[in-house]
Amino acid sequence: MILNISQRKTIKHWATGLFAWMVALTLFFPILWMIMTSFKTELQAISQPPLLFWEATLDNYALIQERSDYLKYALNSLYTSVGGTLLALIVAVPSAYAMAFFPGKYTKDILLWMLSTKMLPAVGVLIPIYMITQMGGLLDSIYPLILIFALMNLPIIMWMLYTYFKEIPKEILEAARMDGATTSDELRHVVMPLSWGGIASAGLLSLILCWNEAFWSIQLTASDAGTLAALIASYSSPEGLFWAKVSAASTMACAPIIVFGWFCQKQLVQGLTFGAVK
Amino acid sequence: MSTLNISQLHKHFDDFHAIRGINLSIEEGEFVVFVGPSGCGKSTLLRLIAGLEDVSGGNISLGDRDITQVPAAQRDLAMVFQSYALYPHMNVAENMSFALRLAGASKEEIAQKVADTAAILQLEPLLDRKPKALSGGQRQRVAIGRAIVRHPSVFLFDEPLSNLDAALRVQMRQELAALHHRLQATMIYVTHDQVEAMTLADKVVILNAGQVEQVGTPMDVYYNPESRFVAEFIGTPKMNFFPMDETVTNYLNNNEKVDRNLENAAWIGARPESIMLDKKGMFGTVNLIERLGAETLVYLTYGNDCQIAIRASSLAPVTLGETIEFGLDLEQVHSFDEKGARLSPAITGDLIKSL
Repeated sequence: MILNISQRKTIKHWATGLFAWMVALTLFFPILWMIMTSFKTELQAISQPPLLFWEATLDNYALIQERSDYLKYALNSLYTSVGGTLLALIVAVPSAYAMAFFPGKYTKDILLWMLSTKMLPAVGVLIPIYMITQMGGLLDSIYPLILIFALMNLPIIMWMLYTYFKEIPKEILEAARMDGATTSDELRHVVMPLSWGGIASAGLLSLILCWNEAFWSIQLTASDAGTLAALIASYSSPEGLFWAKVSAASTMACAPIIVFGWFCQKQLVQGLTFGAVK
Repeated sequence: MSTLNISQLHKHFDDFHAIRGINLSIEEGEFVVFVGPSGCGKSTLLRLIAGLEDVSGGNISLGDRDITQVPAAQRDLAMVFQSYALYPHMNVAENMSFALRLAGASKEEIAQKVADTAAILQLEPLLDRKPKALSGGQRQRVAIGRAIVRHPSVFLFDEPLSNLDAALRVQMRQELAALHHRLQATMIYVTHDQVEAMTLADKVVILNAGQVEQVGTPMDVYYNPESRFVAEFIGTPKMNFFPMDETVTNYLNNNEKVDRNLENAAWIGARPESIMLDKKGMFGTVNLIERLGAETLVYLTYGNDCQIAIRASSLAPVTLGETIEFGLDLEQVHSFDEKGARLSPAITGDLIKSL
């Protein structure tokens, strides 16, 4: 059968659409299953074959709220995420400005080196960081977490901002300098307004990564400074794994960031694909 | 009061010696054009004056103030960039008032100055627009407005017209000339376009490989180029050069004696309009004819491989491939030595001096 161009286009259109939906559903399925499980009883949760229809219950949520204060964990997550992100931005904006507009001989090397630290396993520095935190009397405190979150996301934020700043034509900054702008004028009135989208999306990404961080949160906190990740982890022990409750806890931990991501998705996509300045 | 003085200025970029000991003095109110082939250092020199590049050696002073180490922001100079470099997130009025706002001027003063400048440049209807909603010519006007609004000591222009199309370039060139006349401000203008240099400048500075080749009025550098480089760079088509062979020597000796200092001459230079088809004594083969309407350019091969351009009258009766006879206007001919320096005395005349 010979197809004309418009028929071929239609087929291509539908095929791409189908493929995209399949990928999206595959990615979404675990989250859907988690949410479904959170509304089952423990028995329904482990039944074979899995139940697709059942009478929903809110017992798991009630139980979790009863056993541990959800709001406290959520606030800890919020403080550490926002704190870590702000700290990282405060360091990254001036550094990325310097690297983008006054590159030295080793600027590229430094940037690559920063990124390479992301390739090391975090567990490699678990003992020293744990010891330092312990000696500082800062176990189960949000402050070391804020610092660690900031450092952890700094390479990515630096790279994103660097790429954004690079897109600002150098002459615009030179024009500002000729107009009498000091370095801080340049940053405040020219660089930041022009790369606002980039700074916002770097910040959003960092917020999400901080919110979802589990390794350090679980290692360094307990009941006082525990984040939502630590809350979820607390349901896997010691009595064994309770699927329905873990699912309910996870759903509560994910819900804010999913809602947040939903509202910011345009900004995030723009930020991750770069090149929005011109 | 604000003479700009440059002395023994040097600039190195790593291994590249871009500016090689430039001395220059620019008087208040002068329109000075830096011209030269690409890579000659003209833009670098402007950026050194602006303070956008660090000086490697030498001094720049404005009036009695040494500004060599003063940051660009405090030099009291304004610059217009080739790419306009408008602030994309600000509208026209904000772009023009940015410097005033940074300097902490009052709202009334800013409004007054922006309005005055907008009136000069016919930008009033555009004050609320963002740069992306403007045409190239309008953007360039805003960039110029941004400079004017501050009343700087010196205006710097870095090839400001080269992004415009040909018609707009001519129009903006005329507007710039009018603007200079109106503001009576010191302006330094970088271009590779010799028409802009000739038409705008009070003083032309011709640069070559990081050094000043010649400084003079447009007519001075046209009629009295100090070197073969300048002679070839200024003027279209460029000056013709005849090797001092037997034919040329005989020709010069046979014609009326003009002291052109020929003993050490290696080349004789004559502008296309100084070669006459109604004079006799030299021969060439026509290989191209360009009839431009007002005039006709005739290109000849002279001797073995010497290319000669002649500016002839509109209806000059020449045909392709024929061998024609021509002669030189000996009053307007220069001699140059082997290295390219001019030997012949300057062509003087009250007119050249006064223009």
